[in-house]
Amino acid sequence: MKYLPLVFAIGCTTSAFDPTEFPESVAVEAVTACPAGQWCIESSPATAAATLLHSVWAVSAEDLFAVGDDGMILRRTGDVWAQMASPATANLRGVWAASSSDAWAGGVGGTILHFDGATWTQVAVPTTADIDGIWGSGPSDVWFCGSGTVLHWNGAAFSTAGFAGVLLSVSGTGPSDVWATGENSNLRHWNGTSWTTSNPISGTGTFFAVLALSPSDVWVTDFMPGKETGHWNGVKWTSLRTGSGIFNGLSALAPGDIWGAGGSRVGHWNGTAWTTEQPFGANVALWSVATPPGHVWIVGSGGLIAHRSL
Amino acid sequence: MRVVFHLLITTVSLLAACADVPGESTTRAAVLTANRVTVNGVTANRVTVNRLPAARLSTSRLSDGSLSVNMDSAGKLLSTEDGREVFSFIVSCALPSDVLLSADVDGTTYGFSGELGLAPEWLTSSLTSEGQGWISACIFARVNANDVALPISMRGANLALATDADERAAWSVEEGAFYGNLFTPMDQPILWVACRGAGQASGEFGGLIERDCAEPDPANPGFTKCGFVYAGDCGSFSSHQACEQFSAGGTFYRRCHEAPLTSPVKNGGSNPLFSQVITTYVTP
Repeated sequence: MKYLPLVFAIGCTTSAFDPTEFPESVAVEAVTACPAGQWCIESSPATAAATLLHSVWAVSAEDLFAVGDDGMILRRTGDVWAQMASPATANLRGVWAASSSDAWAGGVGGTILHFDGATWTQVAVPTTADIDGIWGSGPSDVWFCGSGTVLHWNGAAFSTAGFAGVLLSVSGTGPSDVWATGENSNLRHWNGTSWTTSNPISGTGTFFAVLALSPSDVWVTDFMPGKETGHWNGVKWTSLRTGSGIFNGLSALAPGDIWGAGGSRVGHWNGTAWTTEQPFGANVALWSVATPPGHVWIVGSGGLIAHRSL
Repeated sequence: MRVVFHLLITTVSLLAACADVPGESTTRAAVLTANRVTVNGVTANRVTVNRLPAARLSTSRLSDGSLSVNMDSAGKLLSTEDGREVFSFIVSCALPSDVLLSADVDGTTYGFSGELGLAPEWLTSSLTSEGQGWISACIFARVNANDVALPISMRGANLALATDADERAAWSVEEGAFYGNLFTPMDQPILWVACRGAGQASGEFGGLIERDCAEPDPANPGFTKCGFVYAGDCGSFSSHQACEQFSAGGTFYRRCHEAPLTSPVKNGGSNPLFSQVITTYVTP
């Protein structure tokens, strides 16, 4: 019981976040309900409290995966985040799941892991490239992107395609509509037959995240002041200002309800404009956002796991 | 393996960049506004440190539009995913954004985009020692030891690194400065040096949280957390500064040494001086 006040204090707060304040003793305690409309910090398992968490994926509002440095894999079920047994020690950078029993994680040095609902296992892949982004349209159509390469899992085997640059993010709407982008990479599009390259925003070939909601509703993020995001409407790209937010991750609840996270800022697109906030102060680094129905989840450096009920 | 390079220079509109290069001739700045809209020096930093030692190129002409790539260097580099990653950064640093190099490797075509244009002459002639210095500084500045991609603002006494008010306002935290030589012979180590900037010296915050290459490593004295030679603090905010000059208007260091100016001389009586220095800034 002596830890209960700490659980409450950390389980829900809107004050500035300091990862060094995580007491290990609250590692797997359940948190209090997060009031709607407020950002709350959830407790990372003790071993993850100082770990850079780089990617989060929501299977549902009750089932989320997060991955990060040193092979760290976390899962949230039953309102509690817990560390999963990981066969990897490499820094993991991406996670995606088709279901609660079919998840993938990827990371440095060609590390790709698969979860079958019971166990994570390391998968032999034809690359040693760093894997940063994962997305799939289903169990037999999963894409992995990384340094100079894109891998595709068709349910039985991997195939690869080589690219220049460092691909950081992949997203799509189906097997014949896949986008990938990254550093020095421009924007790549797979139409089911071949890849094409475009550059949606003048002045840079680097984009951090891509999010495809439909063939005529695609977003990218970059670092160009005043045009930190780009939107494809099926005909042309339009640059849109975020208000100082440079997003490493994007996720959408709906076309007019998109969330971004990057640096110390969280952004929201309401269908008309971006707004940004710094809910955890300046001393955080946010890397990824997931949006299961009714919720927004963000992970970051120092084991940060933030939650907001809508 | 067959490596073929094609030089494609895309047609771009010439837009005034409103670039400000303090300390440089405004006439020259006007000539080189070219297609830059803003943020000439802003880029990202996903270079992986342990790939660089094996990723050196010869300084011979990068391309003449046909087949002139140095097969012993670029060819080998392009044959692996890791090598293509590093080469993409080299091209990004050296060539301007209106240049796209295509390489055919074993039937696959790769496109490498220019971005910063620190040594555009490399397209048509051997790389000068000055060009080597700028590309080296650029690559070193873009190394990230934490396997993450972050936007950084790179500044220096090179027109390709001109900044404007938006860039200086958005990237206001001085991390440090990077310099050295990536183009050392294969049997010699790369010389990579970093000094600590005022922001990094004041703490760990904002974009500095996952940037460690200008941060001294307590466990490895004399080196940064990325393994670079640590030259000390860059500027006059320290009593042992590594750099001789700071351009206040341009917010960058010039003429930086391998060791603090007041420290005992190194390397048999010298304290090597580097004139191609890139100062990096991150967001608050």
